[in-house]
Amino acid sequence: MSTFVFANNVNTTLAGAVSNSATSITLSSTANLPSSIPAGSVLVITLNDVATRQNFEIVYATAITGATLTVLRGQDGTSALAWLANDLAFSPPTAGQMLAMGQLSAANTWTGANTFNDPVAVANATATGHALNLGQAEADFAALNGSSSQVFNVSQALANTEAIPLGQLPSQFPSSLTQNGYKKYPDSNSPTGYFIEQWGVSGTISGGVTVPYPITFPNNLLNLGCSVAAATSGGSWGVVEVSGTPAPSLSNATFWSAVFGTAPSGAANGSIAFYWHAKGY
Amino acid sequence: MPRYAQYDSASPSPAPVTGWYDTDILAYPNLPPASDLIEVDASNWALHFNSPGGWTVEDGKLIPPEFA
Repeated sequence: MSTFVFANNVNTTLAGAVSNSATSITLSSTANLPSSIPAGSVLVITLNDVATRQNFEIVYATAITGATLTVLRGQDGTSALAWLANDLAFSPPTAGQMLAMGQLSAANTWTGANTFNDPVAVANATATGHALNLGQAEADFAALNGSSSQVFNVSQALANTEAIPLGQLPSQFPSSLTQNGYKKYPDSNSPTGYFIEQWGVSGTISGGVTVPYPITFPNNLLNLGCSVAAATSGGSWGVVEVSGTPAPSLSNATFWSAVFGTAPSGAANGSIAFYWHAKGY
Repeated sequence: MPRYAQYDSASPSPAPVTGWYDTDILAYPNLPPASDLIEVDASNWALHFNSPGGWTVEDGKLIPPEFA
């Protein structure tokens, strides 16, 4: 397919007779002719006999020097004819030119098989919904990378894989740092992403007692321990242990205590307080 | 807001509290049935850290231990 060169108001005549096989024609005037025709392009000239105005030939000029054209004869569905001096030469639009333009179908939506020659220039986007050219995106990211003043807002994370804003960290890993308390730690090795440590102290007890933890472990109790907290009353020394029956649960544990008189005098009827600690997630 | 104390609703009243839940900060895959939970307000939640044990549920009310 030819690439066309266009010139308005070319309206002249042949300077001399032209045979039906000549590949060079000379016009009577250079008025409105281009000074050159780029390689691979053509200027369309229509020839028309002045005697009857019924004979036409379309020629494609591939080169031009002054008023002399190098031409391809019989183009655009016409045949090469012999012409006389003063026959008409002009440059109106032709069907071949129009067809070369291509046209969109009536229902075209610019989707599907439309293709574009590379590169297609796109102006910088200035609003949401605009096309973004890669050069602009690259420049924007370079600016972000080079600036220490950029602040990115991150929404509150709702799942383990989401980014967490620094402001959310304290609420994600709360604690109650009291005598009976807990601390939730981040832990990437935990199936839940966190680890919980809890602790407490019992009131003075005699025998067994079930102690609810300050907060129930959602998933797993890993470890539980206890130790005597204070001097016993009603005896000289005591012991406390985690009960196996009932076994410790995610919510509570049962502890048993015993108080003894001066060794080896055996069990005494006393009471004792104890510390406990539990770990899980 | 949703903080709960757990008790055995089938037990004679007053039923001892056997667990404490804060669903704001922890996700529980196996929360007890609603019938065995009673909501805990902010003041009682703060109070239960003094003594997690000794609490009871009586007539639908959460009763702190005397020493809490």
